[in-house]
Amino acid sequence: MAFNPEPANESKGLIMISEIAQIFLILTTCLLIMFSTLAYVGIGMGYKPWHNLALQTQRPTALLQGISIWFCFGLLVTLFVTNDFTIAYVAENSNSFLPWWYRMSAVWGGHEGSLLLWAAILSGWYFAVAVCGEKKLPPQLLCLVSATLAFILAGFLLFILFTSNPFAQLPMPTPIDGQDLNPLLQDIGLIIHPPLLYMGYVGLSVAFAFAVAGLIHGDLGPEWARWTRPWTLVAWSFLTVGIALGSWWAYYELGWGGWWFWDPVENASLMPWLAATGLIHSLAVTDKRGMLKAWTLFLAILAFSLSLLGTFLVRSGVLTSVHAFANDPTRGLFILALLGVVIGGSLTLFACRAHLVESKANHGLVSRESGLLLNNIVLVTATFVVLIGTLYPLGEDMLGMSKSSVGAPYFNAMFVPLGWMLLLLLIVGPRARWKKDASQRLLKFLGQTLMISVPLASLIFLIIPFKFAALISGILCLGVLVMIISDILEKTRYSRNLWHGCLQLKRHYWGMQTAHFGLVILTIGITGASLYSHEKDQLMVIGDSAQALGDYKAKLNQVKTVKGPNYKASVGEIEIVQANQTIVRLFPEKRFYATREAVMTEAAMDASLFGDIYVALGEQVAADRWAVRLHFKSMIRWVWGGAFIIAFGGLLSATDRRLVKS
Amino acid sequence: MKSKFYIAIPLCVFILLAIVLFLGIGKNPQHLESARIGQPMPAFELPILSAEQNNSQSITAQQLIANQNQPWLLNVWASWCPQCYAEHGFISAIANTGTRVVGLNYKDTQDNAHKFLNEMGNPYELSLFDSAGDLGFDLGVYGAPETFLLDAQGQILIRHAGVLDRKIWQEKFAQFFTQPIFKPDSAKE
Repeated sequence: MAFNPEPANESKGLIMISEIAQIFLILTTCLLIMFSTLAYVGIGMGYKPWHNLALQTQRPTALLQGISIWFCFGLLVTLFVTNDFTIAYVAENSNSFLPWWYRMSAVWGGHEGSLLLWAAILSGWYFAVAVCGEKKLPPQLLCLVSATLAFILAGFLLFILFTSNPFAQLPMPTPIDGQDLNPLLQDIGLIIHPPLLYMGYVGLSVAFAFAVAGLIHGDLGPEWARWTRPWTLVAWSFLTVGIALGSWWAYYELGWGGWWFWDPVENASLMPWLAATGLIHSLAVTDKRGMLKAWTLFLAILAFSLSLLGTFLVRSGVLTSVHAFANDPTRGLFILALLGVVIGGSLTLFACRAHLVESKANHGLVSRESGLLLNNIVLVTATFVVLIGTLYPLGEDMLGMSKSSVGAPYFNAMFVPLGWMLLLLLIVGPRARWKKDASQRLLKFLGQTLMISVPLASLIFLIIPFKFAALISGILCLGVLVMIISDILEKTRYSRNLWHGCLQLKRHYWGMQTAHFGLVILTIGITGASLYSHEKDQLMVIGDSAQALGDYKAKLNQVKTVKGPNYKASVGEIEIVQANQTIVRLFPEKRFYATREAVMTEAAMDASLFGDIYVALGEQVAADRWAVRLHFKSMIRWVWGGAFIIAFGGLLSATDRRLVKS
Repeated sequence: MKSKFYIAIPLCVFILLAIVLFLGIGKNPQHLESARIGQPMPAFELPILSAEQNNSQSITAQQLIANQNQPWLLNVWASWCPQCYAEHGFISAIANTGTRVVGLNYKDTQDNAHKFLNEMGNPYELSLFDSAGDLGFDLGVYGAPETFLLDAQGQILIRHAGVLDRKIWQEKFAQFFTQPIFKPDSAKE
């Protein structure tokens, strides 16, 4: 596109929407910097004259910034909905033929807008903490938490203003219509996936802010962990759903037939999730027993640092990936500087002050505390396994070795044993008592559990072919189920009846059991999908005999030509047969859009509880011959189902009365 | 107060990581140098991307570089790479000037690669189908898109990682052409 370089802004007398938005962003940034300075100096460093001023401005700042940032975000949405192509970002990511809901989601379809969404969500969390914390938290602590959130938000706003301004205008004359949103992104999954993922990513900043405030305060009272827990649980649940939705989108839209690719961007979301999973478990120890304080603080810093690092990896272009958008080295430098200040600053604070909160270990070697600590060690190890795998190409380049990418084999080899270890811990851990337990008691329980789960797991292989890895996973999953049931029975044994006893149990307890149950479902899904899926690319002749696909047989009955509203399509009829019974007829299409000279493949799927049959029409090789892609994805729905159950468990725990009311 | 050195470990690890990342910014992906620059095209034999599933027509390095009399481009692309969609217009513009552009379809599937060319148009004289990434590995390819400029004898002159556009073309590539292939300020992308 060639534009006349003459700027013609003087022709307008009115102040533009985009200019209003930029003024608001600048003013909010100043406000946030002033408030966080006031609070750190007045409360953190104890400069008396500023102390009360910081306390008084805490609430107005939180309200003002929330209103202002969301107002700016609303303005950007308005610019998209009204097709204002004088704005570079709008012109690059939307056009007037796009339906309005895709114009809305196009707001976060590119780099600048997704950063503004990031900032808006952070602003929302900040607002929520300030409003909810007002009655519960001591004012000084709340003020320091707010200051930390304000500081991070200001950093991001500066980043937006200096390197990635979504409100930047195009020089005159402006284009009549915009470029299209990337067609891959025109999808319902992409409307909801980024906001949910960011809710999780950014929500971890609250736990981080609590950790920094606690370190500055120098004293983590008994309530500190209880206040931090619900925020962390909610953020973690959002992150879980966000990752699951991303995986689901990749499965049905990219059409590669997989659900997880160990892509750097996926890893960027998995790392904070693993660290945050560790954090919610160590917070439980800190809350219940007042221990592991320094470790919990470290995990809170680690979890949010990893989400910042994820943003850096995605946005700076250090790693190229499937998802990478246009890259710009100055942006990378700015984020790295921000990373240095936020992560470097908090870790320095940790190094200087963590000894103040150290707590004496006050539990036996065999105890619930030890179990949770082991869980944390496994999860942190997993986090670093992902981190190393993701950064490996970078380090290798620096050492002058040839480039090779660390692919799925590395991650799978590491994650399978780590996952098994986690499940084994899960069988005994929750049954262990706090403070001190007897190892004989736990070993006896483990023995009894295995007595049930081993024969049951072996029975499964009467139906499906034997695989060693599947046997191990099966035993462990059944073991966890036995643990959950027996624990519920034990907890309710003194009640009038089971139902009455169950009602007596805390919501927090049900949340924990639900999430652990979700992990079992997830594991079954992963095991099934990785070990029992089949796929083949097959040349099929119309009317020919059936081709085997695992237990199924597929027959290409006919290929018809159908006329759609704006395309012509070849529609195949593929009959799926099992044991001489027709299960389903699938109609994959190959569409030809004449106006755009584009061919689109519409795959057909038969989703069921135990596996998806997925067929796609390839090329027509001869008059009666087609290349057809046949997949059977075993247990694939359990992967996302499990993730959603886990997230539901997290939300259940977060809304426990003890955590919400106190 | 007991000295507890281990609480400073995370800070040290982070500083190391920050240095690595900082060096990474300068290096990647735009300024990646390939050890292959100044060397001939590595030997290979790869199938040519074609519409038919079981077509096994293949080409060797020697056949590919034979009979050239001016510099030509090898453009690494894949249907899974969003930036390749962005770059496609400029690659087509180069191909339209008569400069030879050969595609290297990298770690892709035949179906998806075809869909890409059908949807976007095919600017390539031919595309090598490197589904396993073998040639990509030999060339030191980091990701897609990447573009190599080769001289008439098949020696690698330039390697550019990332999206190729007018600006980069003028800075790095234009000097190797005796006659400018774009007239200043007239060509459209």
